[in-house]
Amino acid sequence: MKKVIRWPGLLTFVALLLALALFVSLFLDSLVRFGLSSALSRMNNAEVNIAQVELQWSPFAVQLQELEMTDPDVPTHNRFFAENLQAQVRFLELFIGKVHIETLTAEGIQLGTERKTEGWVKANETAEREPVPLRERLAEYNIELPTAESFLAGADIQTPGLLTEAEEKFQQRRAEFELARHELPSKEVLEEYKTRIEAIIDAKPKKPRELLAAREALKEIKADIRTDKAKVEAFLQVSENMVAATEQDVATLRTSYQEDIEKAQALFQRDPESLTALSGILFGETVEQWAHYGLVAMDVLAPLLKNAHGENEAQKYNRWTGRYIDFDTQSSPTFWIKEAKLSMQLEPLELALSMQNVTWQHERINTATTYNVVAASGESWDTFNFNGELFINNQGQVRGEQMWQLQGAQLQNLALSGSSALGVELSHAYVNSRGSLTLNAGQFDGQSEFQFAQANFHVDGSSGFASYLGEALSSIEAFGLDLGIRGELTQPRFSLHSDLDRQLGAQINARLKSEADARLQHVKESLTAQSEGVLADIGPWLEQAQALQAEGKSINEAFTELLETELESLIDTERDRLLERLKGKLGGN
Amino acid sequence: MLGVLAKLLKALNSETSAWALATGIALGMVVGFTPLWSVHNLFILFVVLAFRVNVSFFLLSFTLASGLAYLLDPAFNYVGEYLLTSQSLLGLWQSLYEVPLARIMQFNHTISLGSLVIALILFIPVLLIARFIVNNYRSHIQARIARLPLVNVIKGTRFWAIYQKISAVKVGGQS
Repeated sequence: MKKVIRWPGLLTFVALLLALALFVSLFLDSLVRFGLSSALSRMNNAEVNIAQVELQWSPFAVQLQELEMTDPDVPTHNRFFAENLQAQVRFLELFIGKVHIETLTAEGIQLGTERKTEGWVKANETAEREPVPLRERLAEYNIELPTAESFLAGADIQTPGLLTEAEEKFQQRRAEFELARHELPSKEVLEEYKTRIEAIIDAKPKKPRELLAAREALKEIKADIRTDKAKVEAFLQVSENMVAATEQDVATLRTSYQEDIEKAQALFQRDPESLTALSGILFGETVEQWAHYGLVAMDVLAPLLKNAHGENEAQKYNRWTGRYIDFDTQSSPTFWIKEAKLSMQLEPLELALSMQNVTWQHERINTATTYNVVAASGESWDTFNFNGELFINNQGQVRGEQMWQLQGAQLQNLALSGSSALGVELSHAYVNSRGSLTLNAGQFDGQSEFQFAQANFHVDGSSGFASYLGEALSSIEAFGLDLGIRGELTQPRFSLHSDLDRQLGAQINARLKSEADARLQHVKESLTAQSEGVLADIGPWLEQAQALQAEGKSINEAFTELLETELESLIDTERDRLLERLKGKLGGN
Repeated sequence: MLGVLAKLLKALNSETSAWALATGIALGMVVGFTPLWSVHNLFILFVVLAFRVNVSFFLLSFTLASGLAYLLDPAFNYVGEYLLTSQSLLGLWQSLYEVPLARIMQFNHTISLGSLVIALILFIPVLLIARFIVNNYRSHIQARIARLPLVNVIKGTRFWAIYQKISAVKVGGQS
């Protein structure tokens, strides 16, 4: 026997076993932590961290501290965080590659918590979602009307500039007109010319010498008339140009005045449609957050199980690593949490969520994963029901449905927007909500309605919009929000419709209209006053200029007539008289 | 490296039983072919250490077989897959599934089962062939090799000094 057994070798084997046992006792927790982190990271498609793992041997249980699962869409945040998680695991199943958890208890669960460091994300899981900064949009939201003063001082308005220009031109023209007018011969001059011409004609020169003298005198008068006529024509030329230009200026002023009034009307008039997105901006982030809470089971569980299903299927066909073949006559799943109790902190609520049959191989147990809220505290409400189910078939297709109903929930001091420019808070309201959601082939389709009653808002801020919104919200007590949920399992899209938009729109538009009318009236009065100041000078001058122009024309015509006066008739008369005398002397023939 | 080679030669040329050398080779092959972290390998390690199995040849065989196993994994997988999916054996596998020890041995893993079955089939032939080769080496080849001029050259090298030293230590220990 001594020859057969090698005692030093046997002792070495025992020493090796003891070393192995020591190694396991020292490092098994770390090994399990590493293995679990790796496996969960593969399921999550993003980094998973576990602060500490403790194993309990009888009954076999694994306890995790601070489990953090990075959100693949937002790697700076966790999609899931559990402060403490304990799982009672069936030990023997682990050796055949199965994880069967009889009961899982998780406490201190939070969603969307910020990570200390950004988690890594699998390359093809990069975020496609751009978070919409709705609250910032609200802070930047500005429907304040421009003041009449800002419009009148603005670059778009033309009338004041034209008025100044017209005034300057008018003053210049008036001066030039006055100069031309001074050169205009008076009526007395015209009368004098007439008198002088009549005197020549009335003298009735008979002798040829007298006739010649009269002709010379008339010629001199005509020369004087032509000189004055030239002055009259120069005046007429100047006055016609100036009157026409001034009339054109007046017409331009009137047109620009009308155009400016129309611009002011357009500026002060707001499109009522511009307020349709206000409820989305006000409640969008809050309701979306609620929706994410509502989708917590599907949003967190379904992608994990789906990923795990895909990974499990992919592993089957690797001939270099082999595969486990299941001989379970009861066909139990590879991963199966039979009962889970999750204690969640979803501000401001504390929920206890119960789950049954969490697996990705539902066809093996022919039962869906079911979940429901079993207890909730933190806010007061009359009733709160929340339940759903999830089923993944052998092809990896996810389907499920979820329903919820909330009655008489009391909301207090719910911040909707917070900035120095605009802060909106729902100080108090009662909410009833109900909704349903289906998930088919990884696509969400659902609807939820929220009915708010006895709503009381508090609005403050430095922006002009704050006063509009505050006044409008103060008169609104009840409103409804309809939330639509569509899209991919991992990237649900939300749409929000509300009668709050109509109510807010009516309130704000009514106030805006009265303000717009007042400001338009102010603009009209200001422009009219400015225009009248200039036109009050131009108008009478124009009338005077037109009168003088008529007078000038009249003098000019008179001058023309005087210039046509000739002595030929006197000569003809005298010739006729002499012929008559000659005829008498010759015997009447 | 020279030390390991010297130990192997020393074992081959010493009075160590041919069965001990052949068993080391056969068991090393089993451990090398099958996944290292298997329960049955713990049992084999116990046999190797507790009984008079040559450890040097066990390690040599394990190293060579491990390298070969990387190439043979698809074949092991095929055999395991064939056996585990055979309808005639379904009852056996389902019965084993209920036995905790069998589960721990991961019998339902295709490569684990396939490599173990092939290693066990080869165990007896490898054992006998190894023993035959050792015996023949000692009775016929060892004396002829000793007369080769090359061996005389080797006897003047550092390797021979190590070999002599190992032999002396062992002899000293026995006396």
